[in-house]
Parts: sequence; structure tokens; C-alpha cells
Amino acid sequence: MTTPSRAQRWSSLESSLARYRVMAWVVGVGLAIVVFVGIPLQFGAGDDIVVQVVGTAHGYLYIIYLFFALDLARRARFTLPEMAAMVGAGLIPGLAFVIERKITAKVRSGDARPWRFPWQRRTEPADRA
Amino acid sequence: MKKWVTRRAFLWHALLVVIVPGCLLAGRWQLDRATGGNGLSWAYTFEWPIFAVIAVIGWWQLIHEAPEEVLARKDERLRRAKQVGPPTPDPIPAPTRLMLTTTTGPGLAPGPGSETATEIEETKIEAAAAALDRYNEYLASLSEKGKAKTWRNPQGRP
Repeated sequence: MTTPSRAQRWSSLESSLARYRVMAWVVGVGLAIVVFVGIPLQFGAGDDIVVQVVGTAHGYLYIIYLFFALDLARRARFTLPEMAAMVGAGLIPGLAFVIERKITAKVRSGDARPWRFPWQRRTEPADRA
Repeated sequence: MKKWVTRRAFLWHALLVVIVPGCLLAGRWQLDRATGGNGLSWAYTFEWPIFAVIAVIGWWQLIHEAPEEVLARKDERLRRAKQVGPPTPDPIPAPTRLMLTTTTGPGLAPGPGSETATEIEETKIEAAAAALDRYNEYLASLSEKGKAKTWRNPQGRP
């Protein structure tokens, strides 16, 4: 078979990464709007329409983001710190864009070594499934 | 069963034990707030249980499934569902095959070098050539016919 099937294309690492990146940006922008526009409006002007609409939407988009992050983590065999970073990216404003860049660089480089938080010792994990 | 007791698997077990009750408790808390009059909490009431479900799915997948296995299974299912490929007609008809493979038998055992033996050999060769021709025709017809037309491949190119 020269041309990959639709299932093969869908489950290639590159398309998994693309799905993750799209949702990372959507969730990152959504959370930034909630935190930097919605919450000041809610407490400054007493108008919570932005928080109600974008906040709710962000919550449910975050579910989709989690699915794609999990999918990518499984295919690229991420370690726990990497997965924790992906999950946290949807919860701390601004972090999504940083993490998305790091994850993309890591997957594209094909580097199997896990990246770590600065406070982690540089040891190889004993077993990686 | 070994995959349940690796170090990595225990990590997932521990995480599951923490995350799922945590999500359910948070959902319960949001339900209390929602019934208390906070309309926005209704959205989160349904969201937290979904997070718990995602955690269970992730736990199961991270323990069980290599992506390659999942892909292979999906391809197999697709192939079965769509019956991809022709229901391969036997390019060599059964009688010819019998002739080509049978070397001895009650009616097929003339002495080597006899006239009958040479005739049988020639018949075999002709039959094989004819079968090959039919098979090539079949391949040519396939490439002429092309694939089914889809929105990805509107001309139905092979």
C-alpha cells in the first residue's frame, strides 16, 4: 500500500500533534480571555457575561483538549511530568503557549528522552512502557 | 498480566485513585453550589464527572494499548466493514491448477519421454500461459476502472 489509509493518516504522530496544537491554542486563548478580560470585568465593572460565556466554553473545550493531549501523550510515549505539563497548560493562563512550543519541538525532533522540570534530577526512568 | 504491576503501571493506579474521587467530589461540590443558586455551576456540575471518565480512559489506555495495536485493529475493522479490495477471483481455474499440480495418478502416469507425456506437458504450459494472460487482463481492468470516487478522490484515480 503506497497511500496510507484514512485511519493511518489520522493516527500518524504528525496529525496527532496537529490536533493537540490546535486545541492548545484554542484553550490558551480562551483562558487568557477569561482571566485577563472576564475576571477584571466581573469584579471591576460587575459584568460577568464574559466569564459566563467564555468560561463555560473553555471548560468544555478543555475536555476536547484533554482527549487530544492524552492521545498525543500515548503515541509519543510521554512521561508523567510531560503529561502533567499538558494538563496544567489548560489551567494556568499563558502556560498553554509555552508548553505547546516545547511539546511540538520535542515531538518534531524525535527525541525519545523526556524533558524535565528544572528541579528534577537528570535520571533515566527505570521502565517506560 | 505483567503490565498491571510495572512501576509505570503503579504510577497510573495511584493517579487514578487520587484523580477520580477528586473529580467526583468536585462535581458534587459544584452541584451543591448550583442548587444553591449559582447558575454558572451547572456547567461545571456535568464537567467534573467527564474529567473522571477521561481519567479512567487514560488509565486504561496507558496501561493496555500500544498505538500500533490500536491502529492495526482499526484497519482490520475498516477492511472488514468495507470489504476493501476485490473478492479475488482465482486467476488460475481449478481444473488447470489440478493439471499443473498433479504429477501422478491413474490416468496421468505415462512413461517419461512418451508422446502422451509431451502432449500433457505442452497442455500444462499453454494453460499456465492462458491463466497468466487472464490475470494480466484482470489487473489491467482494475487499473482502468480505478477506485471508487470519493470527495478526496473525485476522479476515482487508482
